[in-house]
Amino acid sequence: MANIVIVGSLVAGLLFQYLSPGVAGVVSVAGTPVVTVLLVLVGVQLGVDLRWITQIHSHVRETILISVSAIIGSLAAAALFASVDPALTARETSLIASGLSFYSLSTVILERSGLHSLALLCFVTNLFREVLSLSAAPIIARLFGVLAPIAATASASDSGAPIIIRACGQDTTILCVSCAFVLSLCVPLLTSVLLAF
Amino acid sequence: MRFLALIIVGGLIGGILRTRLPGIRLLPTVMLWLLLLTVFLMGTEVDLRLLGPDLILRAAALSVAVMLGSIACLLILHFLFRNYGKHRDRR
Repeated sequence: MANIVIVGSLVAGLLFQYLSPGVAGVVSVAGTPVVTVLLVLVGVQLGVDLRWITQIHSHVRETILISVSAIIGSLAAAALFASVDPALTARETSLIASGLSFYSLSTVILERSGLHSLALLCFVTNLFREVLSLSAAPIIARLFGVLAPIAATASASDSGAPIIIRACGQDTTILCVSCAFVLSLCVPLLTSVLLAF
Repeated sequence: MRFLALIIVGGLIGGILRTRLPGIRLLPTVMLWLLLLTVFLMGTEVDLRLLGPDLILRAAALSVAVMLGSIACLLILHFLFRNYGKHRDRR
């Protein structure tokens, strides 16, 4: 039931923007403070229940597994996508995928490199990736296991942590933060390396 | 980094105050409502009219492909490492 309500909220937001863009533009400013409060509350939940400390050693292995999967899987899928869509080359799709949901940073890097149209596609693709993976997190978790939503969300798993925790359980909180940290560091590195080719 | 800092600040507040925190039982309910508000606001940030249908379709298809690629890779690596662990234990 909660999954339907979450997807319903997203659709309501999209419709609101579509029907009254002026008001929605003003309302969307509240996004940052709301996420801020939500993340502090996620931290409070962690602080109140300290059982996660006993499982920290297994989190290191899982963080590496998820981060490597998110990078290799994204780049491989992007390269495959280029073979289906003749309008884009494998380099271009890989550059877009190297954003790993970190749309603000990857778009700026591409924009500064003079790839303006690719930067726009990169922004929309990575934004869609974040929105889709977070709204589908409960379904992904049910079909592929509790680690899959974190790999799907990639570097946005920290800001989306409340949604992932709701779908996958309290144990995934540390994984969300650690994977987002590792993947956020990898984005500028990956994009720069791919730009050099 | 900012998000990480926020979670750490929350963790410190929760760790220090523990059960003395007022309204701690209401926390899951408050978080659910804030979560719904966040998702709604996330939707209001996407202006579908500014983007052409071609761009939207291409971006949607690529984002789904990339998302599924990550999940597929995770499942493959998970399977491989689990099997590797089994073989190592047998030795």
